[in-house]
Amino acid sequence: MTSSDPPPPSASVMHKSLPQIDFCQASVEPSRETDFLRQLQSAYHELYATGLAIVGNRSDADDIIQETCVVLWEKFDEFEPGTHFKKWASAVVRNVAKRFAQKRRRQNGFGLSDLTLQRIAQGKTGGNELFELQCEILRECLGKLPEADREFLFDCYRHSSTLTTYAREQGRSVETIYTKLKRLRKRLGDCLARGLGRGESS
Amino acid sequence: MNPSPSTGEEIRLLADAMFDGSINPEQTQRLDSLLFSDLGCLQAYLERMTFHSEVLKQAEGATAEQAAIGVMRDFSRSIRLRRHRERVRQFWMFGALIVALLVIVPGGLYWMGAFRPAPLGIVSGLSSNLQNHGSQVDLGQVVRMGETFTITEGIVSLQLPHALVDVLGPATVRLESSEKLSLTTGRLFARILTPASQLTVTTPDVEVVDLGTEFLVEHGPDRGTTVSVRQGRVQATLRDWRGQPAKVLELTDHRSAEFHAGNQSVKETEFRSRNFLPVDRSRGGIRSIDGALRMVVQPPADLRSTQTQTENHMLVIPELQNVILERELVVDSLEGPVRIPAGTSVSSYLVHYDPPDGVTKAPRGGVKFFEPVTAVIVHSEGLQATDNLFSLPETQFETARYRELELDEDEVRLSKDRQTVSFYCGVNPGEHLDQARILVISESQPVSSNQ
Repeated sequence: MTSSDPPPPSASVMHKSLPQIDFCQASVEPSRETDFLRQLQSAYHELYATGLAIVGNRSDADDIIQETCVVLWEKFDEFEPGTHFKKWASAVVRNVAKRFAQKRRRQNGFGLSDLTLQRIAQGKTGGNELFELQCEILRECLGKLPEADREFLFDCYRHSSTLTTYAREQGRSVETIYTKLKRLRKRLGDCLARGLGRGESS
Repeated sequence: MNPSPSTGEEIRLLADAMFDGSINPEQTQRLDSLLFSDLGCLQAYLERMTFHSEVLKQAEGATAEQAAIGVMRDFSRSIRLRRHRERVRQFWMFGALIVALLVIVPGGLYWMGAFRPAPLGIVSGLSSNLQNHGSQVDLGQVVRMGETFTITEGIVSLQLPHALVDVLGPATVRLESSEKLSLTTGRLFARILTPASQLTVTTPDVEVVDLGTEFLVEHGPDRGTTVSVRQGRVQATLRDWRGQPAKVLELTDHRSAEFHAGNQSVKETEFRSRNFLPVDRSRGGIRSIDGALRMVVQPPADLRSTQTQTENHMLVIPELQNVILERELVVDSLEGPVRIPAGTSVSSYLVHYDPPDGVTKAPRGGVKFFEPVTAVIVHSEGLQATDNLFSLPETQFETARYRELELDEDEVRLSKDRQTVSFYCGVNPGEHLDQARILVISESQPVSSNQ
């Protein structure tokens, strides 16, 4: 590329839209940093969903995605440009999540077995089209919810700790919160089932 | 592939409980069982987790780009935190390394002897009856600053850079420096070797600064401190209760004084030559000994075979000192006949070795004198001929020939400077007694050899 050549559109967009993230003064080339962010952005939600499926809860999934990003960045030199980043990153997140789930199981004294974790991880390697369709329908279903219900639902999901803590903070009983949440989930589940042509969820 | 409606609902509820963090061990076990046994359940579980993931995504309202940026911010923070932790860890490791260097290495070096106190001199003489507290004292052993000798019996001679010090047990002496000794209790005899050098001896009562001399310091808790000067001059300073100088007294040849810090008294006393006898009897004109030679505190009176046995060492016994010859003396020495003119002052030393039966290790050692050796008498006739002239009163000697050194088995060597005589006495079966007499002219006087 000569100095008169325009920069690649994607890189240009990234530089405009992404804040300058300090990679801890690491001596990395800006284009490399940008490339990593672009790739991560494209794979992010899928990686998160994979991690969540394996560890099962949000706070652990947040830790998983964090740890995965560190590993991905540290190993980004090993990633061959032009190959499938999402596939490579998914393998990483599956391994990180399985290790995390095993560690959590030792801490708690209970958890899913290694074989089950393995099956979940394998299950997340295929069938992405179905999940994408499911997400698309779910977004429509969410749009159909009354504003107050949607806000309540989102509040519950945005809250990073347990429902018990959330209920305490809201000054309401856990049962009330849980019952309402359960009802909304069911309504969304039914909507989703209808969208997928399966009839109601129960 | 789809689970039954009831199982599907169960999976969804269990997945919700898991997502909400409210799942219990039994529910987990049930979920595990369903997921493992039924692919439909697994699919239902994955769909439900996708459901939660999507709701979460919508709840946060973040685009993938924003989410990625958020994660990368966290990632950046976590890297920073990780690096900070790494720096802290390195700091502590570095600190631990420094501590290790400061503690272990010096400790190791100390253990290896690198930081041992400075050497001040050597042990140059031991009496055969030596008894001491603490670690063993050996001839030739290096003595160091701060070292304390506690002698319960016998004599230890220390050769310092400028002085010879004999510690007469029972006594306790600490080496403060090459020029300063502390006498806690007992007697100490000092002889300055280098002109214009000083030696200071302190006791709880007094500080004695030697000004080129031979002197004796004796201290006992109840007796105070007695300083006796045989030759030269010392300056003795009485201390007060704080240890500060109170009175100064100069003592010269054949003067003696008692010092009491308790009542702050200084009293000149009669000089007694016999106070020096233990040292003279033990050392005489001997500068040092080494190897398996020992000095004596009380010379044995019976030196006949088997009467004074010495298992692992030879004895060097000062005999009569400074004998003025009334007539010329011709002795059959190691080097042949030696003539010593009348009027010569001669000091004599007997080397005696008489091991009991069964001893197999032959001793080897040497004795060094201040003055050159005139003659070493090793033959029976020569010994007998000089017994009466040089032996201590009432000493009995073996009359049999075997008292002499058998030069085919025993060895005697005289050093080039004629000040050191070395012995090796064999222990072959038979009569073990070996004796030799060393004659040293006390002051430089003419000696003729008939060699």
